[in-house]
Amino acid sequence: MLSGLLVDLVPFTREWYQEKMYTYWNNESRLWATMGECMPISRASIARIIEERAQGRERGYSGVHFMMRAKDGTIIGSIGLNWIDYHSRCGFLGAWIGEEAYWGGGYGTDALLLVVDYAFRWLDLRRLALGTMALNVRAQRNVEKCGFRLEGRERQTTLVNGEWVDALTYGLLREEWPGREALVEELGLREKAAQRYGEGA
Amino acid sequence: MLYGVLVDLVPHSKESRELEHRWANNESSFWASGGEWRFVTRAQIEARYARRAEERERGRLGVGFEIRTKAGKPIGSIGINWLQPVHRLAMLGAKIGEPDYWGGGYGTDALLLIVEYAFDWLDVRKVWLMTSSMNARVMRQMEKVGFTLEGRQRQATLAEGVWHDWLAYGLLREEWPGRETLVERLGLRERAQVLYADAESGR
Repeated sequence: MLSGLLVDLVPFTREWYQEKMYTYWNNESRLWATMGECMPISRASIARIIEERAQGRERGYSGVHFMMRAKDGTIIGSIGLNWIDYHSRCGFLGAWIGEEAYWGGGYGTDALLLVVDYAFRWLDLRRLALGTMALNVRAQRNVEKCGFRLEGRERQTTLVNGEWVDALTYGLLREEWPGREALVEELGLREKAAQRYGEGA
Repeated sequence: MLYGVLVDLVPHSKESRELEHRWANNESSFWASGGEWRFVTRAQIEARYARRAEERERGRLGVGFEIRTKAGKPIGSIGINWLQPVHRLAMLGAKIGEPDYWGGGYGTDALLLIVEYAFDWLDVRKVWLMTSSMNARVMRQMEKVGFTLEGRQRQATLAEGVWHDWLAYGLLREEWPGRETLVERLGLRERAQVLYADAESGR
């Protein structure tokens, strides 16, 4: 478990896979967590995905994923390294906040700081990358605040509600990372946590 | 089968399947992968083919061709590694396995064929590919053919002790002047005359 100020990152439960994944995949959060994909998913498909993930792990799939749990105990989403290239020590991040009430509250930022810290200090990665679509201004602000640099704008790669949208790719090198503590300070996460959960938090 | 000026793109033959073992272990695979230096056994190559076939069955779209010179020699492979049907986005991959055929325009001719095929037959609206910042030949080729450099993933690959960037290139259908125009502009026909003059006079 990785313990942050607004969220903790904890292992997955069966309940998450069976209920939350189904809910998130079929609500609006899917649009923001992906490159603007909008397709419903059935419980049967989710069962197949769980199966494939288990098989993938046996075959050496390298990803690491956590559930994102707010300090009030609510499971609000997931975050992790979807894929790690150990030859070049590069990790590809993905995150998903499925509970709309928790958007824009700093939860995603806190979770991102935890995963980046984990990737650099425990997994010895030296580069992290992630992508989002140009419409997702919240994600862009979030990753830029955490020090990620815009490295690419892949033009018109995804059709979202009738509009062709660019994909943005971001990267962060270990030497550019000031450390989690520095960013927690800079972004005022402690004050935010105190406000929300009281000084005792 | 797609007919070009210097090469044709044909279904993979038994011959090129055999040659793949050499191609996968010589320097061409370093350039084609964007800076990896790994070695594979025949069994691993077979497993790779089997996995690809399995993925195709599960609905992953893609298409692969053997690159064959006009003299009938298989020199490499090119294809759409991955086709996203909803956004009509095709990721290209290519390898000239025979170093003697590097820099001769064969790869460019093959690229023009596969791009034309993607746009005119598969109704793709964007093609893209990645290479490493070491690969000056491909970078030049991308510029000549009209691709735009869209991304630079810093220090994404280690080669001989040095970290290099990964580059992403993209080409939208509306930016494509058509294969014929590029064949003209790049002088591929003249090149074909020079390269195949001997063969023709010998016939």
